[in-house]
Amino acid sequence: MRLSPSQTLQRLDLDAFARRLLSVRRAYKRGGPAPERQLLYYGVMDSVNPPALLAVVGHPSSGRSSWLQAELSEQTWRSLADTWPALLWPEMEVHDRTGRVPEGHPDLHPLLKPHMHTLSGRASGAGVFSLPLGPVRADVTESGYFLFDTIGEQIMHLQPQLFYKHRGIERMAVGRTVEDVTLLAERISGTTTAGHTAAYVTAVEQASGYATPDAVRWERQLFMELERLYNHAHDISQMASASGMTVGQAQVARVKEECLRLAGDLTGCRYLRGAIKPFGSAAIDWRAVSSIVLDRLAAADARMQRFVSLLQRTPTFVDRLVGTGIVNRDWADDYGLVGPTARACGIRTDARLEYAPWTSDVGFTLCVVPRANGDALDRFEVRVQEWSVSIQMIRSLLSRLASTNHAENSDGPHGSPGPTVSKGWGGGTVEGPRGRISHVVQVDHGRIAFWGIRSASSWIWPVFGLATANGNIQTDFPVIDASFGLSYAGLDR
Amino acid sequence: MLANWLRAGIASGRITTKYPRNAAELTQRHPAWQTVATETRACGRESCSCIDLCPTGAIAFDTTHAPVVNALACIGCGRCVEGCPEGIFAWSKQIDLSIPADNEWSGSQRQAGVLADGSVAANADTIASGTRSDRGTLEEEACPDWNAVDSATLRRFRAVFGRSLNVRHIDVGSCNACESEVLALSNPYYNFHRLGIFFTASPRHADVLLVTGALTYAMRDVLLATYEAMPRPRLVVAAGVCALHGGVFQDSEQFVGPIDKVIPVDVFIPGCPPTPYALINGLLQAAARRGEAVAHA
Repeated sequence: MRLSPSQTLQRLDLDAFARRLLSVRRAYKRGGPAPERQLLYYGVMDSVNPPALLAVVGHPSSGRSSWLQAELSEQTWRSLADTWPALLWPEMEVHDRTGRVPEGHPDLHPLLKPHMHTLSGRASGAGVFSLPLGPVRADVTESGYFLFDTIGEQIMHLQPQLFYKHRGIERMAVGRTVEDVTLLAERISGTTTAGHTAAYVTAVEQASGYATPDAVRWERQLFMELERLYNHAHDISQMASASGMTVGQAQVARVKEECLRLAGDLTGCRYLRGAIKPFGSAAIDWRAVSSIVLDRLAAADARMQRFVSLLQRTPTFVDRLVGTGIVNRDWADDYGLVGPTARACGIRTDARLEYAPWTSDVGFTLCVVPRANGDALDRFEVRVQEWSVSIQMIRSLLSRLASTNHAENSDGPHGSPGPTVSKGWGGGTVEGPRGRISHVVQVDHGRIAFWGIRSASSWIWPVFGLATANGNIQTDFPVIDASFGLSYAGLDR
Repeated sequence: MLANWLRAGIASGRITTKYPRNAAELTQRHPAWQTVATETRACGRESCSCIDLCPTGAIAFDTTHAPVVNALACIGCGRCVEGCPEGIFAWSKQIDLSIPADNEWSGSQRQAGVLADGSVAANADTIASGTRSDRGTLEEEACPDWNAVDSATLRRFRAVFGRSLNVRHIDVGSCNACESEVLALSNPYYNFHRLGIFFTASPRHADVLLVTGALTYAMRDVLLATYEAMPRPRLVVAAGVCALHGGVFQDSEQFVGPIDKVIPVDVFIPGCPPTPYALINGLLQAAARRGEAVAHA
């Protein structure tokens, strides 16, 4: 995602802003291969007066983006959520943060303060039960609340109520130094540390007019692929667990632990904290470690392949996943689905392909399941394929990194020209384990003036409720939950 | 198919750690250790830039002109390790940093109970005075032998609980790295079931409440309700810097305060996130203290 000096923020009035957004909405054609334009970010700048809506539209074919801004000078503005469901939650967020009312919003209620709002069931009639679940629920999970409307075992409707963990991270960042905010970026969603930090750091470097060295970009990508490995292992393990495959669960959890230990040995933190820094240099001398990394990856890969193939040949596992939690293709288009969840619906989208095309040189291939039923089994299959692609990418990135001279690259900010611009806007878009992550920053003399975060999970969560109520029964919920593998922390921020 | 699974499971061998009976298996750098920084010696200054370097305010100077790292607030960013001109900070090489709640600073807070509105403050000052006496120095290259400490703890744990300790986990605002580490306890490497520790679905069946995350206003009543639902005597273990102190989120407008401002805490497990070894250590320490837990039932 590039924002060249000539292509600055376009300040529009609200009508023009709405027209531009609706033209993007039309790009999400029903049933098409992938949209020609994507909504990367939608949010509000609430530290300026009057507050202003900000939208970033990505052009996947060129990797470029258009930046649109419109001031909310009145107390109300016309909601687009009734024609574009992807804006349902973001518009509610704008309402919560600024008090401005989106007129015509179909379901306006407090989103960021779940303790101030009581959900009530949507279905009524004989035999309908409302079943609350959470925020504290079985097993070790993040906190979120779900209200099921059921008839017998059948789930008729599911309303998720999230944002229990809203920490106001974007607001906290305003006025802090770029380096201090890096620590916050690492803690938006712990299991996506590398993804969020890479997106943030890319945005900051772009805003500062800094040209990132190739070796640094390769290293960041390598960390992100390592993160994808342990996340996919985690999700596959959880799917095995939800379908009662205890040996599969334990063995794939073992693979996850081996990936975490590898990350810990490489960077000193199992979750890759401190590994990615703005204006940084390559953190590791890869020549010294690449053979060890390759050996340990090979062992993890062999174990993964063995147990995945066992899972794929076990009828009780496959039967449990097939046809469960189907995401209809219409929803995928309406809500702008991203990541493995979108690719399991047959949508050819991946931020690596669209915004980091160089990754195809290091072995990236897009994984889309041919059946594209959008069910739990397809989400499983996409992750299985992506695991292998990530292994291949890490091998290829390692051979590049090992052939570059670490000493030359480790001069860091002193060796390469540091930030050249003191004020500016920048954007970073990467493919995290759950899908596309976009960060938008405004930097002013080394401090953050505005920070916008759109995690992958924030696009997928609204579809989760629909897919759960799509002809499933109560006992399907754990399987659907595991197959989506969403982050609460990444949405809540 | 069942036979295939059985064969594949057995063929993959045993990898479970012998910790806490034996020392933890440590790898190349320090991922099995708590990645917190610790001071190694005094520098003779009264104040220094390391105080500003620390993003969570974990460093303070004591009266002997030595900087003190508050383990409860250290997120392991390494800025002091890299930035100190005297080089007196080092990575901790301990895994049993869990701090029982009876050191002096937490004693007074224990009775505090439910937070009075408006009285929330980051308690960096009070914490800093209490963590100076962490066991062991950090200069040894080799990992010290933990057996002596832990077999005693383990014996007490067995005596009180037999082989059944039920843990209810609650996330009150974490980034989900802590959840990932808590979940890792049940993987084959750590397999905490071998120690008789289990997760339970309901707080009504729980002996221990394991709290992670920076407490948000939305989760405060949920935490109190969960704590209320537990049978007495009950234990509370707070894990991770966010729960102990607030860490990077201490200035958030949504942050209520450290967990022990809201409910009494028995053991604190530092780290961002705490490693599975540290979590096992903390849970065992908590369990061994159950007799005392009756006191604040």
